[in-house]
Amino acid sequence: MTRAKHGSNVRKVIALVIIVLLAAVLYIFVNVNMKYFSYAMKLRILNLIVMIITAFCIGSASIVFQSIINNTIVSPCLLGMNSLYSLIHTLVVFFFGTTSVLARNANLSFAVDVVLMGIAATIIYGCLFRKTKYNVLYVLLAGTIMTTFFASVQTSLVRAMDPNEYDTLLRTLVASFNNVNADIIAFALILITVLIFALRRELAILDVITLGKEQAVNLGVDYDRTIRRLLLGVTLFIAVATAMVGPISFLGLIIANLSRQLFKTYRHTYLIAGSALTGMVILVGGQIIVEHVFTYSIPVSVFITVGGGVYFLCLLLRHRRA
Amino acid sequence: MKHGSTIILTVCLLILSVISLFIGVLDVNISDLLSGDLKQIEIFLISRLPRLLAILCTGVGMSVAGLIMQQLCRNKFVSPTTGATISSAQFGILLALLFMPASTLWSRALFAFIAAILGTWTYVCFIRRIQFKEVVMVPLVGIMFGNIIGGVTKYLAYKYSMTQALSSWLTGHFSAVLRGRYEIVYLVVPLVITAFIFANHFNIAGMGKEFSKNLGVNYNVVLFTGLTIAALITASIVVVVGSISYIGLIVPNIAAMFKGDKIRGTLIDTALFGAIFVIICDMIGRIVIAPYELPIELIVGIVGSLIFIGLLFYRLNYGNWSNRFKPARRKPAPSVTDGGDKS
Repeated sequence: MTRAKHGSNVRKVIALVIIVLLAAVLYIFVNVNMKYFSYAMKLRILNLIVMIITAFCIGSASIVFQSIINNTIVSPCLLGMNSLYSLIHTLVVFFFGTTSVLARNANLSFAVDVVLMGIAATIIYGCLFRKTKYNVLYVLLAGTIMTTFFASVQTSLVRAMDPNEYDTLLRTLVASFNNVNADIIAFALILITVLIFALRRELAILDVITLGKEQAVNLGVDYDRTIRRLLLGVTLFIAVATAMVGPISFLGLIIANLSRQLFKTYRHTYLIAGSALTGMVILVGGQIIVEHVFTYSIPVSVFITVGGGVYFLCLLLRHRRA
Repeated sequence: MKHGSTIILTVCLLILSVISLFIGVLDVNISDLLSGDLKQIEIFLISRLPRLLAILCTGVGMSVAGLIMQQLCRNKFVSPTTGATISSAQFGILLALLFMPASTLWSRALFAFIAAILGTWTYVCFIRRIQFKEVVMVPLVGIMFGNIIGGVTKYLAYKYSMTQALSSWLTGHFSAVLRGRYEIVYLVVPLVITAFIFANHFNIAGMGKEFSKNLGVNYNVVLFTGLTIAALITASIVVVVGSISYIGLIVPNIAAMFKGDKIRGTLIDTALFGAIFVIICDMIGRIVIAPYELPIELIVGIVGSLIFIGLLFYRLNYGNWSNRFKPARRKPAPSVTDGGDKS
């Protein structure tokens, strides 16, 4: 990479950081009622933190995932990882009841969910990749079908549930940005830090992984082990994001591709930073619009689904032309 | 034994239909019916019989619609679900609810018909324009199309607080099928008969534009007529029952594994098998948490997606499935949406 390009990418990152900061300040202070200042601050700052964590998780997980399977039109959420998380959470509540410690203690239930999610996703998606012989398109199709499968099982369980239990479950499950799950912020932050620390070696050689299996092995990388560990990391990041705000499928796809368009590089330092920062801009900006223009009438996820879908089709058209 | 499979399927379907009639919260049994118990006859005529007929029409209609779409698009993964037909029909219903709040079932059906036809046409034009190299890309784009239309539907529903009113069309279920408000589903019958009459045309159109021209078939007319029939069948089912995914996808594929790809030969078996599939799923839904019931969409979603993933892996490992069962009539796997059309 030439020095000039390197410099311009650094500038782009700085510009994105500034935009994020501006959006954050705007989010916190716009239309604030001075009479209830401290109360409003408490709510808004929590929401802001949750959005930033979510954007970071989805953004970095999507980039890493795309690099692992060498395809830029997938994202882990498109494969149904977030519906799997919802299903696991429902299963735990279904079998242990809402009165158990598991359901009442947000941190504990999150820990159990995350562990189960790690195990289930490794088994299911590992099997999926092996069975399709790493054929990305088949993985993607099977993944979209899995989404229906997980969602159907989850809805069936919910329908069979006691209405009171269902109410309690709904609160933790259908979180949106208007109703974030703030209890687990600290725990999520610790989990993210530990994950990044544990995966620091694998993350450092992501650039090498993108060269493909043969090249990477030639350069002395334990390819299979690295991929396994990275996939597990991706899964857990998605679990964190879903636990906090519920499923948003297309966000990862949009921000990962926007970041690739913006930076035009293969260095993952920039790609991940770009993807996470773009995600923050979109989420915080979208939330400002939802709260103050539409006065909460529409959840931000609907915008992201429609916008993301159109963007996906455009990506396909462009791929064809190229 | 050319019609062996048809006879077996018919017998199965008849037995299952009778069993299905006598499953339910209130006990209805044959001896009481015959002895003229008025209350039981009433239940039978108002709820049980309409439900059975709706189930049969749904199973037959969805699988035939899927078969037509697969044949015309030359892709085994296309169906009303993966071809944006169902979500367009739902969008149409929402529009009817928005603009004509006092609309009857028939005017809603009209909206659903128009929307479903337009949606399916747009989708097919899109995939014909792009000419995907990979077979899997076609359904994937269809799913995305469906997601976008569904997103817009959701947006409008939220905006005008119609989510609850719309929810009964989003998850398919038979529990609201009663005498007097399900008859639209009978439209399926003449449409399926039409499909049967034109079956050979669909076959020819499925072989590509050039080929059909050589045989004197107007490709575009047949293509869009076929799609229209499929869309009408789907929409009339969506209006009454709600969305039911995967039947149009799985049933024709399983039928083709045993009977090959000629529509005239497979249409009846596909239809019968579709009806059996829906009846069984409906029974499961009614039994699992009796006296309540699970919507059929969920049961089909669970059973159907598992079967579909199985089919996908099978296809990946063994190629085109009809080859496996019929080694004598080996032919190249149907390649892309529109291989013969690159003039």
